[in-house]
Amino acid sequence: MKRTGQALLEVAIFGAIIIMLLGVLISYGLKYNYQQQAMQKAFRKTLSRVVVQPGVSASEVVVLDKHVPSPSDAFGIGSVTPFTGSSGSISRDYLGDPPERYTIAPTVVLNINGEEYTYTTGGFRDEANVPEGSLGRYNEVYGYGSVEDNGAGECLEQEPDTTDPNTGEPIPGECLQPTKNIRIIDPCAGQIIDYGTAVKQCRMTVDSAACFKECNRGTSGSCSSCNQPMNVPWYCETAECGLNACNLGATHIYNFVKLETLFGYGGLQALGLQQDYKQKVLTNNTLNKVESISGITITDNIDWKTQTKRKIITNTGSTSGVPNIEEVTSEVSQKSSGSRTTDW
Amino acid sequence: MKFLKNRVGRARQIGKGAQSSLELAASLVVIFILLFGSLQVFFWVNKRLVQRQKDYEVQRVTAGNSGSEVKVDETNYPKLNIFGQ
Repeated sequence: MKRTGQALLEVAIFGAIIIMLLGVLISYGLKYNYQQQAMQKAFRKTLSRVVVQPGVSASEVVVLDKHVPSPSDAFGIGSVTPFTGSSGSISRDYLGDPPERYTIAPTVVLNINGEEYTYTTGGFRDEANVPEGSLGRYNEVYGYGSVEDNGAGECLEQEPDTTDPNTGEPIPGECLQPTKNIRIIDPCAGQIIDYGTAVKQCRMTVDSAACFKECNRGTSGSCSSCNQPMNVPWYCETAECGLNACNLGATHIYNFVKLETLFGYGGLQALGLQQDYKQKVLTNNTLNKVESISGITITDNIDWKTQTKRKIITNTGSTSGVPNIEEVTSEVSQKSSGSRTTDW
Repeated sequence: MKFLKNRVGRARQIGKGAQSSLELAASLVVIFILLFGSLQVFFWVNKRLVQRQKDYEVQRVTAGNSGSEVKVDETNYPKLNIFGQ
């Protein structure tokens, strides 16, 4: 008698496990599907942008909060899971006009559940009257494709004017130190900056030895331009030397005061959409069972709401270095009920 | 007495065998239903993934010439039906 119903007991136990696995399979399936949707959406979004503005690159990060049921939950409700897809596109006609690199700043669009937030990932900085000898260092620090010649600047040192001894006409003196006006595509002049890029750029700007070290890593040309002076932008201000060149050596660890304010001490805080988020879940699910002469009636009421709060931290461009923190809230909810009656 | 005992014992043996067969039959039915359900879920997941990728690639040229986002239409995608169509 003890062995009676052993097979059914086994089915009950293993059946429960298999039903759970079925639920796991559904939740994994949904996750893969939503991930595919997010990736495709991101690429299509950037593609549509670059079609409208050829020559301009477009980047988009798509965040979709989706409901994924889970078998481990009492009602199988599960949780709201974020799915992220990102893409960057550029369309360029090689026989046509060059890309408008120096007029339109690079941007990234953060698409959070359909709401779009656009931020610049770089900006333009105009430097006037840069000595021609220093141009090489600007190219080294910002990259050769990111410094545009904007015409001649003022002459910093000029020979005195002379007079033609035969005609008596004045002969203008030759410019001994000509300058250029330049426009830089500065990745640190945008609203979203990368800490590593900013520190590397600032070290090369304030320290000639650091410039040499970076230059020698990858170039085949001369790095002599690293000795030339260059302007220190606001975000490269150091505790040691302020807004002046420092030259304390390539191994010196500089304290970039504005970058520390912007990123938090030691670059612990990244700019842009923060990876961590807060979720507030309100659940009011009920199951009502009524047994009467006519039968058993079961009524399910599903009522839940999940609120997700995210932070977007950006550089305001103000010389104080204090970042702007924007909070974005999105909500996913479900409200439905179902009833069924079974005869005795 | 010995004869009677043997008869009762044999009847019990026969009963036990029948019960085991019934339990096995019921168990197999349930197991196959669950197995079939798992397969249905598996097919549903993969069919949707493949169909979405196919539609996405078919629309690629249209999307590359349109100024607005070209979305994949998922209205006719297979629905989850664990117990078959």
